[in-house]
Amino acid sequence: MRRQTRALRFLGLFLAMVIAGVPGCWSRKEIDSLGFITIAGLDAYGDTGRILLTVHFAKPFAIATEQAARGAQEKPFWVVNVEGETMSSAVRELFLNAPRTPFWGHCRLILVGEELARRGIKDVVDWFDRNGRVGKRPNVAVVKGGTAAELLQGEFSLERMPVQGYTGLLESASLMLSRFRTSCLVELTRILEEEGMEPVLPAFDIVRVRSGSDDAGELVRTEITTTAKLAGFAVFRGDKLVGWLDEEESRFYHLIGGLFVEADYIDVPDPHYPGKVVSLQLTRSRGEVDPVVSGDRVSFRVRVWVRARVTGVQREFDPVKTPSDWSDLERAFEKEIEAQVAQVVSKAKSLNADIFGFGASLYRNAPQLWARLKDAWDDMFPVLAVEVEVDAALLRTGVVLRSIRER
Amino acid sequence: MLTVDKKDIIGPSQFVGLLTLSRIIPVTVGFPLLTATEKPQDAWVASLLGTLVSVPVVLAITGLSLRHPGRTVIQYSQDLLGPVFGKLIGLTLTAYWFMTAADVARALGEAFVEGAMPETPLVAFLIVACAAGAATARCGIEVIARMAEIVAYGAILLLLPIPLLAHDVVKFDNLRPFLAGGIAGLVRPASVAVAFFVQFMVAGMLVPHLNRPERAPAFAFYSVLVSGFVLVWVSAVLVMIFGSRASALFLPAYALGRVISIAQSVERVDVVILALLTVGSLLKIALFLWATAVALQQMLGLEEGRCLFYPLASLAVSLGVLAFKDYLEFVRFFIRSWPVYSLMLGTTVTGVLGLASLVRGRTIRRQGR
Repeated sequence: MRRQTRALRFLGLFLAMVIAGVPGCWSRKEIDSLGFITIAGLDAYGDTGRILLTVHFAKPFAIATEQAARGAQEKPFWVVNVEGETMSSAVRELFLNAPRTPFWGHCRLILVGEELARRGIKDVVDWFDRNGRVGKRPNVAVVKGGTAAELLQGEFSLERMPVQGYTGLLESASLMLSRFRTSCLVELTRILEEEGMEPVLPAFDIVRVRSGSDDAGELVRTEITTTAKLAGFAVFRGDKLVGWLDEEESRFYHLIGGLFVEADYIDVPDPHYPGKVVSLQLTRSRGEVDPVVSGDRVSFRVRVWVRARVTGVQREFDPVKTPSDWSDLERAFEKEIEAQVAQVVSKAKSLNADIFGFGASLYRNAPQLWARLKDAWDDMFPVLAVEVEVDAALLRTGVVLRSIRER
Repeated sequence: MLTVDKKDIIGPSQFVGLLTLSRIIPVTVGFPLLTATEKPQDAWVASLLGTLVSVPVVLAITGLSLRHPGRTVIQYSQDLLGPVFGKLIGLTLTAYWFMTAADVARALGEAFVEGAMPETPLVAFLIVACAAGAATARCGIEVIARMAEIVAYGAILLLLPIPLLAHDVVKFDNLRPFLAGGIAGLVRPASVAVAFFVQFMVAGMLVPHLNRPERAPAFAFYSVLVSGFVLVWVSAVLVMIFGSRASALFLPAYALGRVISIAQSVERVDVVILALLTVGSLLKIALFLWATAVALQQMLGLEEGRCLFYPLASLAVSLGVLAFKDYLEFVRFFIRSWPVYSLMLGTTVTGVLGLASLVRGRTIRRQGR
């Protein structure tokens, strides 16, 4: 019996050694055999219905070398363009171009060209949503008036890796300005399926620093020819791009959605000096959309609550001495917000895109009524009655009470 | 025959950990309840309802063990119904536990193939999972329970802070409207929830090993509460993050891990979740293989049951691979056929044994008089 046990133990040890010695296993992924994709750009390829996929592969050897530390000029990324009938077939084409297996786990940005966005993005989004290798958090953005392939030739002066430039731009703008907000894949897929809500995505403009040059194939960076700038929001109806919100409209879109970033600035026309403005810094804000239901009729109330401080005036301003000046400015501030909110609502109506989620708020508050109205929502939305209620107040004047008096 | 020696005694916390773990594993892989919910925002209500309905079911299951101290459900079903009908009940339960082990192995395999290693054949994961489960089961219930206690509470601690870690994509409004699908819309998902709680019938094999068996119903009640809380929490969090897409998720807990991104440095927590899910699934396989082997040993009157673990594991691999053509068939089975089977089995077995126990109790009392 003891002999048998010893033999079994020996056999076990032998098998363990054999298994340990077997080189590799299924699904193995050696890090030096992977090509890390950092950005994916998607475009419509002509009128053929095909897709042009542009990706940035990170070049680890160009990032983490002594040369790189000294600011060497070799680009730390490689741009590859492939095309295919579908997103999957375009991805397969990458294997014919890239000597390393494309790895999507580090893809931080998905850029969609305007033409493809107008055709519809559901099919391409489905590939990213379905793929277990892609994270749920890459940012999604649209290229305004151009292609992703074109934009992805661009670089940023402050960042070696363009992906850091794009995401840094999106994140710092989202943090400091109310005009922008990052939109990641998980949010996009959620809104694409949400009742009574249309998606908006940040938009990039292509900025040509030096025209007439093509640095697509350059290995070494000589100078930056193309870069990117944030340019408002792309508005979708369903999965199709239908229009744009400029920077001001984007700001008030956020205010209605309760997403306004405190510390952003707004210029209000001076009530007493036409042509001059008073700069205000918004310190607190809230925004919400409520349906007002009476029988089968529905209207909406947009409520905005906002508080601000004065940060700049272009004339003599002494609210301690003349309190009416202060209350007049407050009223002007309220009117300005009301006008801007009404304008962005009418812009959304003109695009017939319910980006504020009026339908969603009706669904949440009166699901039975929504069930009856949802099929006719596309016809109802452009003529929807929307009342704007603004509660705006000024709280402070900065660290001085009055401006410099004229001698 | 089963002898409960000191080595095989488990504590209340381990008992609660074992049952809780066995209930939260289907929440992390697949989450049939959510898939079965027509309006995903109702999933947390269905989870709550399912948990509340499960309380009397689980109390009845464990309460029966109190009437037969030191006896497993396999043993006292023969005491109550005689050798033929008793063994029939025992065999039904054994088949149920064995099938549960095979299903967990299949779900774990599918999770690995889809989530981490797509080129590896499914059967490779099933072999490893069932072999590891059998090896753990051979160590005895005390070892399984000790590990389950750590893993269950670890999994809960990991799942709880997810809304905080992914706060920027959490949207509370996604939980509205309340009862979007009406009360009728809760019936199917709630019955799926209860059907999984019926797996607590395995407590009938655990109670004799419990160091305070008289408190078994209370501990089982705590298990229902803890796992019910996890169920409600995870379904609410999934809907807050993914909206109605939540019901389309194949690996919900894994997807939750993928949305966490803190300062671009704390990311891909899915790996941690996958590790916990793997260990948890292995322990659930071990628990149900253990229950199957001990039940067979008691029914067949074997001196030694340890020789059954590996053959059972290899059969579980075959059943796991062959029972379902593809993953969709597996999902459909769990939201359509399985709840009916599990609920019928649970209510019939508990009902028959409860009735027999009552009748027998009265007969003994009459004879005593």
